[in-house]
Amino acid sequence: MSEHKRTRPTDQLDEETQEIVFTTGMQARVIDRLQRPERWWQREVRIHVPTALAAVVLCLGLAWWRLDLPMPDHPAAAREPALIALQSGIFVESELDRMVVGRSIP
Amino acid sequence: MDTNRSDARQEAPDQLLADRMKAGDQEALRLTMERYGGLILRTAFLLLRDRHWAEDVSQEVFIRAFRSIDQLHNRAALRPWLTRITINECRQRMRMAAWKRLVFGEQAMPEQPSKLPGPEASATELTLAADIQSLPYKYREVVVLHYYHDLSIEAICGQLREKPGTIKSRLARARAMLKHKLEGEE
Repeated sequence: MSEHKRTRPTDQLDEETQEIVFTTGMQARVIDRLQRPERWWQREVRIHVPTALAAVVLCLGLAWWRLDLPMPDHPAAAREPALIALQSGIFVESELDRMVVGRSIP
Repeated sequence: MDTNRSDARQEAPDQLLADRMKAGDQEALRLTMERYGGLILRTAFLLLRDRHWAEDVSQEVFIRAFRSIDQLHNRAALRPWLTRITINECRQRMRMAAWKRLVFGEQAMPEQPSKLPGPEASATELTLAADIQSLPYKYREVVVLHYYHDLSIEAICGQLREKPGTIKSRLARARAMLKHKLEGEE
């Protein structure tokens, strides 16, 4: 190990790995693979982050909106009961209608 | 041995090679492989600890580099760009190996650093390389870039996209581990 201390790590590593060479055969394989068309799943895809984020937000928003919306059998049932304020108090519209109809019929 | 360590005189040929590769010249790629093939292969070998994986990765690096040469904006920075592709490829291999280990329980990576084939492959001949290869992967990366590629802390930050403090602490920890190993071997 005393030999290692005298040499630079770079030179030492180069010396230790000098058997490892990028052969002409490997070069030929690289050139050969370039002749073949690239497979679609190996293609590099570039994603524009702002657009992708906007799409994700839009999808999530749509999903939330669709799931959160009440879907009753009768759309009228989904409506909030209307309140009517009179001098004598506040009444629910449907109840008030019923009372008015009840009084008008003898 | 590579003759292209931070040599400013080689900047122009690298630019020229990059320009020629952009134009689709495969002869330029062959020249690039001649110049940097050894460096890339040995880097992959030091990172992956496996000769065959290193050969696969180094070939993949040049294929990827040729196909994505348009992404190289600073044409003089061909070597750091190739190094970055190598690191990314090696990381991808390591991740895949980890997944295979997790899912299939198979031994996807050799536990011990590999030795070169042949009778000359004794432990003493691969001491420093083997010691580096025995480090955990994140430390191996910084050690290989700092000691084999002669990169500064700032340059390593650029390569690994980490903060200087992270690189410094990893390097310090790696040095301590290497020192411990080297002292143990003496």
